[in-house]
Amino acid sequence: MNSCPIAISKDFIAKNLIKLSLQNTHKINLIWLELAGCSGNIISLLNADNPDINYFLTNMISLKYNNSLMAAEGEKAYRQFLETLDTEFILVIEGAVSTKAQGLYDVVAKYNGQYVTGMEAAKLAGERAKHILAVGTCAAYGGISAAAPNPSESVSVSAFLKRDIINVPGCPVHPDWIIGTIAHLLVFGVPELDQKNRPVIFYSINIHDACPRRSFFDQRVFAEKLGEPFCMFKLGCRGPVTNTDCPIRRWNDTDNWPIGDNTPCIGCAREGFPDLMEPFIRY
Amino acid sequence: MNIHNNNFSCQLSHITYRLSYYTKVFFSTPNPWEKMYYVNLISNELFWLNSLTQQLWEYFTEPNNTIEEKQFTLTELAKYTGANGTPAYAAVNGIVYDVSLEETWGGGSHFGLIAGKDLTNQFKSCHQAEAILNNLPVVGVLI
Repeated sequence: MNSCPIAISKDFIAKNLIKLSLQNTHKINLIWLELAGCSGNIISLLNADNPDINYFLTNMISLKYNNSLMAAEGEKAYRQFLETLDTEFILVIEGAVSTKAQGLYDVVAKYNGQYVTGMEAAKLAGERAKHILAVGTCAAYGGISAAAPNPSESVSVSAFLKRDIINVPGCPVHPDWIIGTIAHLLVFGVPELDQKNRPVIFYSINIHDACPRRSFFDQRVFAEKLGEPFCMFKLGCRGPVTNTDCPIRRWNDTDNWPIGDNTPCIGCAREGFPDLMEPFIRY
Repeated sequence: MNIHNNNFSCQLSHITYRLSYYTKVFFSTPNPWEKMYYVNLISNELFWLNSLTQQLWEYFTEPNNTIEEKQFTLTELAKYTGANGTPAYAAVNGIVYDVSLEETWGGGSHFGLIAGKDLTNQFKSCHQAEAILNNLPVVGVLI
């Protein structure tokens, strides 16, 4: 039998390469903690494709705790969370950390008759996790949860935990960005990060530079109202200030993305979203 | 000659257009005779360009000719918000800049700020270097 995986069949090159790179890795436990957020990122994750959510859950990680996906509820679920803390695990946090009234604005569980706040859970798991991913704009920068006037006094995960955190912003985050970052953690360790601790592989491209309507901007052909197939810069497109690979990767299995669907980029993966990115549309 | 006259900039743009076209053809043709022909055309254009520069020089050396700076009051400035197809202007340190095509100013708004205002304080609180202002076209002064 040929030992070279590439020679077996060209049809399976990608699959074999994945197997080859994963053979020395083991499934790591993962806690997906939702704080002051909207569950948008976990729903976005369910839309993953190549690899899909099944592959992610069965071959890459062992999901120990997530309030939306796990079967256990109540104290039983929280006990599973506590048990996982003693193992090696990756912590994924979505949603900002609400700090007002000792975190009581965001309660994640009730255990032994006591409320467990999101702030407490984040601190508990944050101190022991091997890696922490702040997934979504709220977790990475405060985002919508911390938008003015910020009644719950929400802050970003990095501002709360004060340790090395990988920021994966986006509202919601693209499933590939999460799975890709976790895959990189499993196989190669921490990916190359930029100044804002975002993985360079996903956040180094400026949307405006890779935009399929860029030539309209260069020729100064601007859309005056929504629906026109030209550059939407004059309608308030935030592509020029936002760095993600949306124009190339696209969403819903590489079909949709805002500008492809005739609506301006609102800069959802940019620090300061939503306050600093408003108005989203300007006539 | 009036340098505000459209005719002047029109002539200039025609010359630059022809120059770039001739240069392109010059390099793309393998025929030496053709190359000579285009060299000749290019030197013709340079002659016209030279005469335009001459006119410009004469205009500016006359004592009463200066470009008038457009003066804006705050109420006038407030009309240029970038909405409804108006250009987006913003004032910093008393100088009014055109930010309509500045890439960080999509739709006349910039990280929560709206064009058509004196934004000196906001500028200073965010940007240390004033060099970035040099890239913006100046449209006038604030009075």
